[in-house]
Amino acid sequence: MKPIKILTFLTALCISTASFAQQKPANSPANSPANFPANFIEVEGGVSLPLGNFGKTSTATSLVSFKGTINDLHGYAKAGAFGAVDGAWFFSKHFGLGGMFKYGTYNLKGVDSLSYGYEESFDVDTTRTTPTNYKMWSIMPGLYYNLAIAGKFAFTARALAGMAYATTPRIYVNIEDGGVTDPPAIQNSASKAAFAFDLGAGFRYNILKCLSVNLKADYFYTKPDFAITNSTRITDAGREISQYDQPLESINFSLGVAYQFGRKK
Amino acid sequence: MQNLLFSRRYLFPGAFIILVLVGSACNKAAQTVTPHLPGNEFLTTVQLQLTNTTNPTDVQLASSTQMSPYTNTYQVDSIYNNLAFMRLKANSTYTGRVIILDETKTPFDTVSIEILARENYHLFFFEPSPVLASAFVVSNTTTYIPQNDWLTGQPASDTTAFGISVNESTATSAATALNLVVNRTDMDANNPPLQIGLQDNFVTGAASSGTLRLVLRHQPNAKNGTYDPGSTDFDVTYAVTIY
Repeated sequence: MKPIKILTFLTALCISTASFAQQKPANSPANSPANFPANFIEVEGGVSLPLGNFGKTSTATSLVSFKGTINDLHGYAKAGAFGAVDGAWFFSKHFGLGGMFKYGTYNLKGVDSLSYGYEESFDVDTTRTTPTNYKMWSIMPGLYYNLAIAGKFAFTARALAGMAYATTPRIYVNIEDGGVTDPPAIQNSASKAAFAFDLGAGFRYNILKCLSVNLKADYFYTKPDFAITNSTRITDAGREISQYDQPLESINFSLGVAYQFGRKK
Repeated sequence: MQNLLFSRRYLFPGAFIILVLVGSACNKAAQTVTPHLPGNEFLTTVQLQLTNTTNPTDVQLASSTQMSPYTNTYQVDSIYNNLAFMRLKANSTYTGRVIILDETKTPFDTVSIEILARENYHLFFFEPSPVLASAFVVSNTTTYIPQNDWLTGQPASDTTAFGISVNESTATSAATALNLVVNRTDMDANNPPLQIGLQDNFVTGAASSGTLRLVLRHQPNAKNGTYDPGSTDFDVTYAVTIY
């Protein structure tokens, strides 16, 4: 229940930011809205490159354990894809308030290592490992920065903080030996909400007065402490994770299209 | 044309739909199949080494092998039982251990060491036959093989047990039963621990004869103390005389 309340609050904050964007600030020679950057709403998408243990894989031999289970800090996340909607209202020449909603997925790499680890640990003829993927969405309000460089170009940056809701993959390992299908080893999917932040910078090119394209790079960080359950783990051998408390961090490269409004000149 | 392309009405819903479609396309489940790697050992020879606890010079070594005594080569469809017998003293206790060898290698490989390393999913079963019906209790702590998995219908010409039928049966009295009880004495590293059977106690009663079937069950992610889960790594039968 608590994560839902926090999400509702953050959503309301983002909406209220957009509502403020509709209001006209008082004109003054020193702080004229005519000189402010345009407010915008943007749709963006791109590629996300996992960092740290989140994006690492264990070697096959390091996952072999005959007597007792073995923990694994690595997340096996492959480069993923994401889509986002964000927007900002500029209250000064350079700074604005806004927010971003983002959803992304990461498939798993190194599944052959996982599969080999289970096969050797259980000393069986064949293992078939079928993973789902990581899913992550986030909602983050924060500060936006804009610096016109030349002509239609501008440098942009943003610092956002909010929350992310991440789901780990389900890893299903089918075990066959001596013509018999043994009980599968199943690492169940787990979900958790946690604090998240995003720091990014990029460039904006104004195609039209009301339309721009944006190229950005962002660093994203969250650290949910997942409690992971496993099904039909009857004997103590092979890889078995009951907790995953590693940062889910990534570098994200995105291309976006923004609709700009509210600029006076 | 320009108005149509960049219309407020269509631009953002369109872009969002494209993003969703791209995301969905990247969301296919992958499956990795890891077939068995070559180079694993053969289980060519299974030995039971029994030592009388009151007379350490009374050592029995019963051996069942698939290594031809004539060519010293592994015969996949043959079993040689000329040494697969044991003579045990009545009313005695023997400590026993199971020795598994791969004699295709030079020097031979002691596979029971590897079984011990993989103790969490291996379990040995011992079935004396004829077994006294009143003593036959199948549980996750006894070594008996469930009757559904007994050897039946084996040909009379089977010389596995020196002319004794390898077909398993029950006896209603000690006079006709093989008076032998086997207990496992070693425990694995599961939580809670389960028996293994590499180390055992053999307790004999009155003089009798019969067979002792030894089965190693491989129960990956399935071992629970019972016979059923998993598959069989080997299944051999020894002739037993208690005198």
